[in-house]
Amino acid sequence: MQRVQFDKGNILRIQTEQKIALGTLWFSGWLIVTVLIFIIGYIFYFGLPTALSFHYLFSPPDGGRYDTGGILYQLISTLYLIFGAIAVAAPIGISAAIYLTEYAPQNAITKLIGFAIENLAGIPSIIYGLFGLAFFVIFLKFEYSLLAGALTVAIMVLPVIIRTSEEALLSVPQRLRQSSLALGVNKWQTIANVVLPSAFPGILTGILLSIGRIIGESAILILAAGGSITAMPSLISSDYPYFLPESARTLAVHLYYQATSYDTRGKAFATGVVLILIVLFLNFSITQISKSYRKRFLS
Amino acid sequence: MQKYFIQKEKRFWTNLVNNLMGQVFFLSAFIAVLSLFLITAYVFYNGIQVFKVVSLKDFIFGFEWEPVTRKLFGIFPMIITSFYVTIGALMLSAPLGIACAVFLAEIAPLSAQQIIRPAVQLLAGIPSVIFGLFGLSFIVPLIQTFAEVAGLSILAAIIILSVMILPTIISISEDAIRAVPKELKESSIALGTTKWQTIYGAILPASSSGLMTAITLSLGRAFGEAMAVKMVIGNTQTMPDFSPDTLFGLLSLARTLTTNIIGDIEYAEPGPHLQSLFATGAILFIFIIFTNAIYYLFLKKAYGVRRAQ
Repeated sequence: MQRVQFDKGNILRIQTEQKIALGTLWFSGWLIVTVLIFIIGYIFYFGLPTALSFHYLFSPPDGGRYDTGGILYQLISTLYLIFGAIAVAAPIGISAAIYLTEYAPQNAITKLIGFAIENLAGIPSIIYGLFGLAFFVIFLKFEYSLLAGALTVAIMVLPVIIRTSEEALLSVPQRLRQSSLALGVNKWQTIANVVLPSAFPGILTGILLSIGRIIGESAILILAAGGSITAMPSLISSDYPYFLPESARTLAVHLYYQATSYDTRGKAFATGVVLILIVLFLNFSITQISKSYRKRFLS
Repeated sequence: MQKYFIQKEKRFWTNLVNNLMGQVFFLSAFIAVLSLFLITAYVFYNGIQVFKVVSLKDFIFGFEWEPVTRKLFGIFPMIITSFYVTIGALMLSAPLGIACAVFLAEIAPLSAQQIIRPAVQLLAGIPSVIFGLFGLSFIVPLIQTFAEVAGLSILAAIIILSVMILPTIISISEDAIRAVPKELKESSIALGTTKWQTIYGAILPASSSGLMTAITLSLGRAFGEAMAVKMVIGNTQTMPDFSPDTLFGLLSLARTLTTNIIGDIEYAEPGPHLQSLFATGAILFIFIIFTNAIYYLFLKKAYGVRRAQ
């Protein structure tokens, strides 16, 4: 029988290799945390003093070269945008998710729907923006307006809401549905009274994720909502026979215009701080919701 | 015993609502199909109009973009730059992202995971304009101090993009690595291999289709990113200078397909100029469809990961 020969040099080489490789992996893991902290820290370092001032947050922009005003209108238009987009996307998205989890038969149409959702999720926002420009702004004559922007953004977040709601609905135990149906309750009543309440935290997570996407969106809004800075924003106005849409700037778009003009770049950091704080808050809420959610279903 | 009376009228209404809601749910789901169809139709229809003014060949292979003054619509430099920037960003972030995913899935203790994973999530949630601002105010001046150039450059775009696509690569790769069967890892360890040899020889090959999925999906994301790139690339419409003086184009100003749309939309008049921007979008869209097709044809079956959000 052949004896196993241990080659000391070889073992040493393998061990060194292992140390270097694992060290590299360790380094890359922590590098990402460092990069994140550095970027956020950099924005905060330059932006925090301005962002924390009452004047900056609550006075309207003056639109001048150095723009000594604040971001009140941008905050308002961002809120309008979130409201408009979620009001459209959430009912449609949740209903679509209900169809896919509770109703959909295994057929070609269901496959087509799945295909569409998956592809919508992969379309870059600039393509959504071009669509919003062609369809809402030009074809439906909404002009550059928050409404056109909100509707386009609603389509963009639709796949996010559908996918997360679907997951939430799938995680509702089958026995809950069966107990309800066994009591003679019909399908819709079961969904409305049993399935949806149980899936609510998961669905809420999806909506919060979408809000994060909406807040950070800029390409779509430049193409579909325009960039008017000093007008008081509105989603729909009562001026016209039916409505007169208005162009408006959200926080992210405002940041873009501030940053690309050298005279206002300092202000861009403050707007960035506001954006990051909102994103941090959303992330924190999502974590808290999914924590309590997990506790409920595992116990 | 009490008799149960079923109110016929009430049952009629509950049944009606029940049936109606089923239809409503179906229609809502079908809106996704309708949206995809409308988006494709509108972008391509508006884009095709420009070919009344310029031939497809001159559009794709033309070197000059002078839409207003000379009616020249050549986007070849932008196509090249888009590929250059995308591939550059992937070359930086694919190794780093996969390494981070391996670290998270195989090595990191729970406490480290609890810090790194939220950090990756947060990175995914940061708006692209903030990356643009960071690039513009930190990376660009940094490049300026090392080389006698404008700073706005392909290199700056590559660096910013590579950070932006990291979360996509990490989360999909991590899922793929975690999906490797335990038996495979244990048999490898049982043969007396080290941890690294197991990772390199067993885990990475076993999860390769998942890793390819991660790279393909982030490729689409990098190719389609507009705002952050626009802020740091300078947006000049000429072909980037690929001479060694500019580190083979890295330090050269340029324009990608996406930044062409964002940059020109501010002054494009309805007519050929606006249509040419739709056509630029259509070319971009074709590339996105192409990466999606790769994912569908080769990767989805092998590795059925849910599309990254």
